[in-house]
Amino acid sequence: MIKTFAALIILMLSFSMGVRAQTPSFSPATFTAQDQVTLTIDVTSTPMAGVSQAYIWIWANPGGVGPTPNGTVNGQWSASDPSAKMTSVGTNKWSFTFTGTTLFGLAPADLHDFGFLLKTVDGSKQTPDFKPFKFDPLVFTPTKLRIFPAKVDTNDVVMLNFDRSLGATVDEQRMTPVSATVTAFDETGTQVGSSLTVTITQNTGTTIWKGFFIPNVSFKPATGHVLQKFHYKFNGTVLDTGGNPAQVSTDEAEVFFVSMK
Amino acid sequence: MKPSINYLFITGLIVLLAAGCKPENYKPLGKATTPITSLAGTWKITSVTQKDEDAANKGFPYQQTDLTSVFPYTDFTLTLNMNGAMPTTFTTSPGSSPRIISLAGGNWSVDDPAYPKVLTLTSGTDTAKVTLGAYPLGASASTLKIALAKHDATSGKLLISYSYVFSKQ
Repeated sequence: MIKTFAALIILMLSFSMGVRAQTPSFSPATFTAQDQVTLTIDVTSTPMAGVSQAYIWIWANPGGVGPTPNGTVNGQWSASDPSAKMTSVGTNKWSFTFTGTTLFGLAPADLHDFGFLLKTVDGSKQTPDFKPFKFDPLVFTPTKLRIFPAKVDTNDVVMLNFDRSLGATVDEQRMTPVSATVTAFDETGTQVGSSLTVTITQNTGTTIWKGFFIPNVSFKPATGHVLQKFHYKFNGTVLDTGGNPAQVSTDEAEVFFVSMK
Repeated sequence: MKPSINYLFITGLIVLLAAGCKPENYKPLGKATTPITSLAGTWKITSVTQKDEDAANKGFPYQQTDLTSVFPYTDFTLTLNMNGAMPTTFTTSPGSSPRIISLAGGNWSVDDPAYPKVLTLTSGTDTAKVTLGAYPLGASASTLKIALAKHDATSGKLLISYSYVFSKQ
């Protein structure tokens, strides 16, 4: 009985490790395309676990905006360039330092995000893709969903904004916004508490609606966990073909908290 | 022999100068200004401003917003007690306001006793530091300005600042 129970525990632990999502960390946490940044990734439970050497394969703008060149360090898939070799920083942990504009040979305005994977020098083993990771913009680009300030910690006042004039769909362009919905997650990706409905108001004379919340007031992660990110969207009504109000929502935007002191 | 006009003019000028050389009746200077003593008292928030320092640094639009009426910040009071020119204890009372200072009470100290800029609030092992925006002196004696700057924990880059204006109770 004890052996069965122990086997069950081991099986559960193995399963939890197997499904654990690897999230790279960046130092500094926010960076522009002109800043040097070091990414660190744990490849435990990927085909790259246990390898003695790892190479990065990195490319620009997997988010769908802008040119998509490979990193100048990549080399060939079957023969990575030595400059793509990553630095071991612990068991199954690797890091790589780069500057976006140099690595991709693009102007800052053309660099929005990037993706990468880890591979062996000959490409016989590789991790899944990790993407997209955004560069901090150097040029302001209006977007339909925006927060103020652009970077927030868990104890900041966050203003959610929706600019209807920048809506990408007919529903977004003609909806009458009535509320916003915020959903928070901890560092394991687990939702924290229930979603929050935020009261919104329209900026006078504009097509912008806004609402406020304070993350650590509205969301309390379980003991031993921390808030890592939140999703938000705006909700509203449109008239359907029968002239009756129908509920619609915008896309969801994702925001990661920035640790501040 | 008649005195020349020049002689009369010079004599008159000397008389006038001699008559003008009297001590000025300046008012007393009064006590030397001691900014730290002006901090004592109970202060209540009257306005809160949040600034996206990174956006301001980049020249982006949407650089700051007034939060005063977004949440009931005007409930928040801070009491700074002193013994002469020595800081002693403090208390905070948030009411329904977000806790801009997480500590309920304790002791406070300053970085420079003569011209303080940073106030350190201590409660047990917890501390909170706030930066003075302006001394409550002169025409602004009933106004205390406090600033809170938030930096990226990794890079140290200034990202957000909050400005709190208090009114003396």
